[in-house]
Amino acid sequence: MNSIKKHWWKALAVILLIYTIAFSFLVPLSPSVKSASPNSLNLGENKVILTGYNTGFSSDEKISATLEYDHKTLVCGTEIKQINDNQVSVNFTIPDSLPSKILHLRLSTNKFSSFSPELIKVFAVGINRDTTNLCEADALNSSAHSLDIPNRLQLNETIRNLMFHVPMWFTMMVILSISFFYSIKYLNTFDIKYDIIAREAVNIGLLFAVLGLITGSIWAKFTWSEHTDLFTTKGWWVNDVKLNGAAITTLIYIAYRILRNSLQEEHQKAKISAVYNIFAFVMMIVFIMILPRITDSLHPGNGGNPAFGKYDLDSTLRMVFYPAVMGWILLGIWMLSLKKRIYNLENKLEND
Amino acid sequence: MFVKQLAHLLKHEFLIEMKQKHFISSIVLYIISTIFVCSLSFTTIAETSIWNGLFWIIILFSLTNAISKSFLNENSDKQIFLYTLINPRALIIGKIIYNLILSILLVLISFFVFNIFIQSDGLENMNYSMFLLAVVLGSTSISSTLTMVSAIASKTNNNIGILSILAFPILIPSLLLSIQFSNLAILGGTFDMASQFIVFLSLINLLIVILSFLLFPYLWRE
Repeated sequence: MNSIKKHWWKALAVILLIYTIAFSFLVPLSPSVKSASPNSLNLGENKVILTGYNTGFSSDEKISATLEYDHKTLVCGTEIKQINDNQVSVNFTIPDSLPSKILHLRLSTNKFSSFSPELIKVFAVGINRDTTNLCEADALNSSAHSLDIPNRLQLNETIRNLMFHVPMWFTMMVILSISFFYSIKYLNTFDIKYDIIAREAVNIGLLFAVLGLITGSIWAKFTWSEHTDLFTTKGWWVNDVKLNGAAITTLIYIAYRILRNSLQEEHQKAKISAVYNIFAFVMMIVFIMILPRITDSLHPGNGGNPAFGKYDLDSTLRMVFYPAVMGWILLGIWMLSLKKRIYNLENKLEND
Repeated sequence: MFVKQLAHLLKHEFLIEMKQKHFISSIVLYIISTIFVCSLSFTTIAETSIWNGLFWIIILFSLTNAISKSFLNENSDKQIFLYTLINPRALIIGKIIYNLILSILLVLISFFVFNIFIQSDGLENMNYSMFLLAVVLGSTSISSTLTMVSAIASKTNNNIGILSILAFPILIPSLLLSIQFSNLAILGGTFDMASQFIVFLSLINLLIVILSFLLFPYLWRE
């Protein structure tokens, strides 16, 4: 009974991580239209082929496709034909009242409804009337919203990496804050056991930093770079303020380890590395908090904001992202407590 | 009391410096020869941002060289003697102020020499007073960080190697800010446009001094 009270959070960590991994690998991506060809339409009738992902059109299905702008339906597609599972052809007739705009495509079947913003460009010389709905789409009863991961342009399947890459940095920050806290505690008490916790926390923080760099590098390669060939050095790294922050954090804590190794006497080692740890942590926080506010970044929610944009997560992603963050943080703390126990046991063996 | 000790320490540092004139002249020579090597390899730099980056790299390395010795000269007997006499906080503040004066001097010399030897086309619009402010603020944070970290590094055997790996990652935020700030000055920006750089750099400088003030006694007390 006592052990349950003491160790329940480890069970929670395991459950959360199993849930995270299962959710992020098993749940399919939502059906969505990825490209339209041609994607620029002229006045009059245009035949467009829409290519989707995970759409699974079947021949007996009823499909509606509309072009929207600012919550108004402007053009309804006619003569919709399925070409294969992922392709349909649609006729869009652009009226002469429509000004040149970039429109959003909404495609619905009786199974799903997908919305692809800024997919199609219209070239027309229209008078910019305050257009209400120009056409009335047949209301299709798309069946109840099924569980799926949002399908974003450019991100595609890599969106699953959100549950691994982002929590690594959250965990690293938590573990390094623990290290910072114990370094302060060491300087107040000069008790060597606090120094051991600070040291092991840095080691674990570094592990998460390296994992975060690797997952981030792979993600950057397949979303931000046009070089998707694996066997080239291009595209693995981009010059971005958050990547620089990550790299600098890693460098600082590798330097911390080198500093420790170059000192001999135990208490001197503890004291000097605690001083460096505090100094470096505060400067790192400055770097992470200030610089993203004055430089732009490729990361979401940037140009003034070091964190996320609040519109980047939808309710499905939230359902798994927050548990994932919690699970990884608990795992990090668990690793830290194991390291502490190993140290205590080694100490005991030496003393016996 | 604190101020009195500070004044004495500064005087002491200057007297030592005057006795060892070879040190400051060796650093100045180091700067001039580095810039000369750069001028031989570049002669003229088309892009002002590269000109600016090169200038800051030269400053970073020469200041690292100049400040790395600030705690090296104190052999341990003298350290114990100093510790019994003065407040360690006065000592670190004294060192920071002294190094600040030294590095501003060195930076002004390198700015002058750099301007003579390495030309760039886009420098006509440069706002000189703003550029000098960027250089002074930037070298303040570089020198104060290096002073604190050299106190840490002096406890190890490999002083200058450890100093650079410990200090460079910490220096990057203020270095990046200074580079952007001076780039703005080169493009002919006004002080209104640069207000956020001035505020952030001053805050970082203040933070470094406060941290050194709080943490240095732990390094000193051995």
